[in-house]
Amino acid sequence: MSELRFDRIHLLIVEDNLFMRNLYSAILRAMEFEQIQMAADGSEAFELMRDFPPDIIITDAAMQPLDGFDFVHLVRTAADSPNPLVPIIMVTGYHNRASVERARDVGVNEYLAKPVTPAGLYSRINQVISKPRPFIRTPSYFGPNRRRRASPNFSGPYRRKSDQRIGPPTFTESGNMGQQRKAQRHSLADYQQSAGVLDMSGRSAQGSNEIGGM
Amino acid sequence: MSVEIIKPSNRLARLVGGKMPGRLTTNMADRVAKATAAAISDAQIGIRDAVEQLWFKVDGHSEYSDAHLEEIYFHAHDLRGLCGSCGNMVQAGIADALCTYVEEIRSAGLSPRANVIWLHASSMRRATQDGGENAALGQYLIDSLCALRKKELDAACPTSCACDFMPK
Repeated sequence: MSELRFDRIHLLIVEDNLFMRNLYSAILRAMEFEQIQMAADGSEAFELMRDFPPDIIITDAAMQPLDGFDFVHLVRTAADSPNPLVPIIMVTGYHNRASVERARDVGVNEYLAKPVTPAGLYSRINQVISKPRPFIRTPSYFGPNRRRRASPNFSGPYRRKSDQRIGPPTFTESGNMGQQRKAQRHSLADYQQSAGVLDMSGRSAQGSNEIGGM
Repeated sequence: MSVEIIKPSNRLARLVGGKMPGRLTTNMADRVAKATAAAISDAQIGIRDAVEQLWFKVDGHSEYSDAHLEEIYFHAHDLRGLCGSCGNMVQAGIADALCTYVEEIRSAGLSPRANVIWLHASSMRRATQDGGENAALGQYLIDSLCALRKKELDAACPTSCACDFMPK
């Protein structure tokens, strides 16, 4: 591990609890991160980012006056943001789905539920360093790509032109396919009629009973 | 809808200068455990202070205003993160039970009851005085508090009933 240069990475910890800050510092210094700055809330961190451009931000969610969600939103979207693309790891005691979705929608890269463990923290840092995700800019969102994987069972709408068809058809596509099947069915019926094929009742379309008979 | 896709940079990987192992190595985990011992020891003092502060916020009130309840909630929320991270799982469990009680009762459209909050804070104080030595007592306290929450939510049927006949 010693050949890895974690000492080159600038970390910014945003956490209102002094003891948690000390704990983060102890864990990260033991992992050989040396460039660590601390802030007690989002507004202090945003100011600090100008003098200390961080490579990775680790932030709590529940802080005052500016909480973690608003801080991330500010970093991602503010016109004067020092680095809108900086990877952000949110570490929080909120375990509910709504908080995870909110974090995802404001542009958090990785989410870690407290209690903090060194292994959990390491895995999130590893993720943002080794497997960075592309950033997406739409009129309503700016942040890391929220699709982590292509699901073969995805049945929702495809909204990007670049999306390739990998899942079941959308509603519109289903409608078009239905029309095609209907047209094929009509043409098949015409063919059966002309070829004298049996219909489902066992009657021949032309009165003939030759099919299937040996 | 216009979409711009910005390719990810590998600048951080280049700075680190090598492939990171997928998991924390044993060597590094040992170093971290040694390094965090002092921080955890200091945090125990902070936890004791925070539990006392929670107690003073909770004790002696027959009901809480919204602002007061919000303060109590955030105090408990802070404790559940800190206690869990320092390995005080009983205190973390009780703080979590208090946060969950406030969250779920509010989402059911009810007001959290002062005496139930008092019970949580009192249990937390008891567990702190106990120093986490009696894990069985701690687990009993957590289970009792969770059962109390469930009972109150079930009583608020139909919106929060846990029975099989209600939509989840």
